[in-house]
Amino acid sequence: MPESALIRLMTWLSPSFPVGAFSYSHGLEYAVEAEMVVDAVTLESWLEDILLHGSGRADAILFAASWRACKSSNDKAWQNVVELGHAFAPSAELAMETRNQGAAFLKAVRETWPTENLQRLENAGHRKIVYPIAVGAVCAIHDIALAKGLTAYLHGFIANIVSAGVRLIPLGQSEGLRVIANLEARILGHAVAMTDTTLDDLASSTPLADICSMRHETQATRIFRS
Amino acid sequence: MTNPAKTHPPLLQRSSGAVKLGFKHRDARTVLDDLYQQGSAKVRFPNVAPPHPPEAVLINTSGGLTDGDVLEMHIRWGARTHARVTGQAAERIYQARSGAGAARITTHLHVEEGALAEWLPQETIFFDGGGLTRETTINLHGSGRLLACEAMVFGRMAMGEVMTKGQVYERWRVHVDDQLVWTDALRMDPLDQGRLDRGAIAGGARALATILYVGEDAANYIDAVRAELENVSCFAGATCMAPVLLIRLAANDGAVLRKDMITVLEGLTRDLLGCAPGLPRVWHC
Repeated sequence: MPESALIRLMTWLSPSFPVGAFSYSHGLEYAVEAEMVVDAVTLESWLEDILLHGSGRADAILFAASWRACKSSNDKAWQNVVELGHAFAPSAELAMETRNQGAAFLKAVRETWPTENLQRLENAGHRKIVYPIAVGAVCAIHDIALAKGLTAYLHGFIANIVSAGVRLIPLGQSEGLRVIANLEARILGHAVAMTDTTLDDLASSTPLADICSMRHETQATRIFRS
Repeated sequence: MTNPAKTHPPLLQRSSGAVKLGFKHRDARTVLDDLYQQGSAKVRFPNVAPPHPPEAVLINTSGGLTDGDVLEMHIRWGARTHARVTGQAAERIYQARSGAGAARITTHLHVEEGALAEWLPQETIFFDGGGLTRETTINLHGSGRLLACEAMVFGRMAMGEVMTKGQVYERWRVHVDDQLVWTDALRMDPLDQGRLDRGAIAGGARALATILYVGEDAANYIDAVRAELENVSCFAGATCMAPVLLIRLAANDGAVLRKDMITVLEGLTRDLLGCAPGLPRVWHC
């Protein structure tokens, strides 16, 4: 990877990058309300499911497909990924979460690290580009290896839900960090495993988490947008 | 309903069953346009009186599916038709013979301008070791509307059976005017109770269902559906991503799931039709 790759990856997937990540709990807010997630142990277990079987899997598959299509300059394949990513939506709020973050990510990258390749891709389609597809494309354009980009993406995704959990359950900062530490090996292994997937593998298999996200839409008291 | 069965070439070389069924609008009524049935797949047309729309009941005479078996269905609702298609009984997925394969059910639902399609099969029951790949593709045109459901029950509850192995892949694709508007896929491999017990997966539930309504007016029904969900005992949620209204249910047993599905589906059909015809009779057997 080029010298610039690591530092850019850290910038783009830092919690302070302006995609508004802090405002999304990915349905966790309802799971805490319903007492399905009550402490660090149940949070870690919940996140393991989301990572390996839920959005962590679907996002990784879309990320890898987007990265590969960009790498091979296959605009038609990329458009297909974009269309599929837009349509693959377990709930209205999860769709909003990934579409908004995708748009915000592309806007920030476009303004600060403009490239012709990104502009061409963005101009080609009429569908909103969801977050993993946006990050996958930008990683490919900036010569960031697929497994590295995917590891950073998945880590950021999980760490963001942990932050939501720390506020909601609530947990101490060190308890939250321990959840991330305990999931390190799974994130690394999952990122590597997902580099070999194709769009035929696209699936998200956490129906209970999806129902939580649906029920969050009408949750009486809420601080998160998803 | 008239039954002018037409002949078609076989849909598949190696198939345990195939159905091709079409409805058309004639003299202000929905009538059969097209029927082809092959292998273990049969269709019968019970007599129904208004307010029940015309109904077709699919029967799998083989009694169930196992690995390598294929069931393929093409159903077309012509312009301005309204008809229901359901199943005679729960579909059963037997233990895979080879230990690793999956049965395959492929469903194509084609809904033309102004039609109201109801696709209401009964639940699919997995025997321990059963594997299923089910792909449902929906093509809607113009102001066509569709109400669909699919339910899966993991293990024969009456026998106290618990899944120790098996697999499932279920995929939906919804196109409106040839644009992909919604897709979803669920994969559990292995499919066992350990997986189902996981908190974010099924939380110990042993039966899952999806109810889908697709139509330009989908947003009109979300509040009523949510109110209906307050009356069910399983864990359920509803969301609207117009033109798709999506409802998911997770229950600890198949009987509870069926009861709750009936509640939701009867509510939705009442709101869609402005009258309360109830579900097809086979749902209450």
